[in-house]
Amino acid sequence: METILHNVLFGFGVALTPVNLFYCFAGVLIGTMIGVLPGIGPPAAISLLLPGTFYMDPVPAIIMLAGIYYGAMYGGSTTSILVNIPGETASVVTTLDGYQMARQGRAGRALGISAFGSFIAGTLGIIGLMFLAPPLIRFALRFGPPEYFALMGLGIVLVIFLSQGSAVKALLMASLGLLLSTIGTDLISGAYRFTFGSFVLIDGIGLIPLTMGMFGVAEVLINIEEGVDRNIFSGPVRGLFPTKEDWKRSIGPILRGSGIGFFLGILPGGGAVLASFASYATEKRLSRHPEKFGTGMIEGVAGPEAANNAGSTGSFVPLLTLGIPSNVVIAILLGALMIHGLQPGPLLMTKRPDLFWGVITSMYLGNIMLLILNLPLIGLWVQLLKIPYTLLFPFILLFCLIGVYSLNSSTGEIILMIIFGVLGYAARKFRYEVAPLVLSLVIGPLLESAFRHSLILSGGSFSIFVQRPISAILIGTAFVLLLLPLLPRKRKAPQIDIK
Amino acid sequence: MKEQDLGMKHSELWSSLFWILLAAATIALASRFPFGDFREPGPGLFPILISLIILGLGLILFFRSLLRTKEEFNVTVRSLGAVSRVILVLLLLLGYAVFLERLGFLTVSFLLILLHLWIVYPQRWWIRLAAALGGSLGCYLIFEVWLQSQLPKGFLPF
Repeated sequence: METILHNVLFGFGVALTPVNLFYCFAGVLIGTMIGVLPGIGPPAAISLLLPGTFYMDPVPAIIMLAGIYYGAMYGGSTTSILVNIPGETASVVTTLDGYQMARQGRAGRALGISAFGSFIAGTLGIIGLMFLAPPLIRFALRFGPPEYFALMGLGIVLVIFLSQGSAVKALLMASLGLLLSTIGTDLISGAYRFTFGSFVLIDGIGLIPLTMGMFGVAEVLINIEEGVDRNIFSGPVRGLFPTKEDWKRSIGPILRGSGIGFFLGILPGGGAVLASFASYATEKRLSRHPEKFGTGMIEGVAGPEAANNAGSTGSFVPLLTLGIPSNVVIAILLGALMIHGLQPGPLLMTKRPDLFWGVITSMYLGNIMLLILNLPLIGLWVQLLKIPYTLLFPFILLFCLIGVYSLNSSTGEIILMIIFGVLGYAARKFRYEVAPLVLSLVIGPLLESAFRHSLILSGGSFSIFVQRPISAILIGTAFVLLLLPLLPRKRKAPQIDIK
Repeated sequence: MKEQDLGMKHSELWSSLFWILLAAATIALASRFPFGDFREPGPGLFPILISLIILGLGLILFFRSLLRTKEEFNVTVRSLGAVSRVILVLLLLLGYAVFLERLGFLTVSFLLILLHLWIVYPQRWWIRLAAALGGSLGCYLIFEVWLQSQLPKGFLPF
């Protein structure tokens, strides 16, 4: 307890420096703006800003990028409540009751409870992260290559298991990500694989051209093709502070949402999206009036909004302790840490305590900033939503182009980004999820290295993966999850009717 | 708005063929790398294993699509005009890549925004001009002045 307190104080010492405070503020502000604007999700925003952080110290860079992620969770609720379009995927369920509340003249209270709920959940999530991370790190120090291989394999399987569409398609996308990760120089033998003599491919497929293409360019293409119909709530937004009655009805959902969100956030493949759906389903089940959900119940806003914030905080646990991403945004953050020459994992806390504790405590400060920012800035966000999307598209594309080019001053990277943009567009059209691909691309080199090192250690015997207890449990779980869809039982989808 | 069918009645069949071809090509390419053995795996082992998984899954998708009794989803688009806008945007992006180092970052950025707001989503001339000027100068300030990225200057002296 004393050590944690000491570390937290040390973390605040790092996070409270003017530079880090500035980047934390910039991150949460950009994140909220990204969350407000439908069509540009946190992965695209983080990818867009990643090249800009190359010249920065890693601590403010990661503080800012993390701020974008949890800031987007706050911002997403504004669009869900006022426009009936989720600003990002984790706010989908907020549209159900949030927009109905706005139509009944209670937009202010919906926005208010979502901001307060997010703050409480974010804060509880950070406390959970502070207490859970050190013991998990001690546990992770026992891991060798077979355990890492099994854990990363389980991570990919969980992402597939929890994907919304076809499991076969998700598995195909994950495999494609692994295949793409083999492009470039083989780290063990030094051989070039699938480079076709191209200088651009020698270092492998860059995370930035891929994410900017698959999220930035593909999202713009989809929006251009499908269009974004927006019907902005035009009434005045008054009474942002929830009443005593609102608090009485919301505090339970907020606390439950915080718990559900945090633990689902830790799970690979979980994160904020799953957390918000699980919280909504839980509140509906626990309610005395489940039939009223979808008609403007404040519990339907408070719970999911708390859950998605706690979920985004929880997803930092596997990144900071095991060096394994649990969702696509965290995968991009993992890539960002590696670009800055840092190896996330159990040694990060001892090697770079300033980064580890600085980032964690900055999240607490960021949550306070978000609470202060969100309520007075709602008018500004409403105005922002009125900017025609057609005017924003060329600017998003320009940012993608310059960001990708500035990586290595190579137009080849731009071409790669365009190819991935087309691939991302086609994937959406053919109903393939992109997240498993990105996650596998990031994990791929680590997974392959752990696989080959395990085989070298065992003298070529695959039994090493099942002889060691941790590895055996993880691989066993992965197999069960892979086989579950084959059982003659219908996979239960969340009972939430989104019209 | 009613969506238009692209005529791809067997979308899963087409996508399964893509995966099977991709797997076949990568197996052929990866077989050129040393495979090693399980005691000392070479650079070819992992890509071949992954390609085999893709091949297997592609075949599952292929047969599942052939044996499917209920109607498959069709790939639809909002309108053919919308698709032509997508193609135009891709051409603009390609044009940016081709001309960036020849004309310079400021010029191609200005042209990208101008043409986007002229051809893809036509706007009034002064909006086009203001957005193109503001956007390219804004990016110049952010990337060249603030972040000191080395962007190509082209024929301009700055």
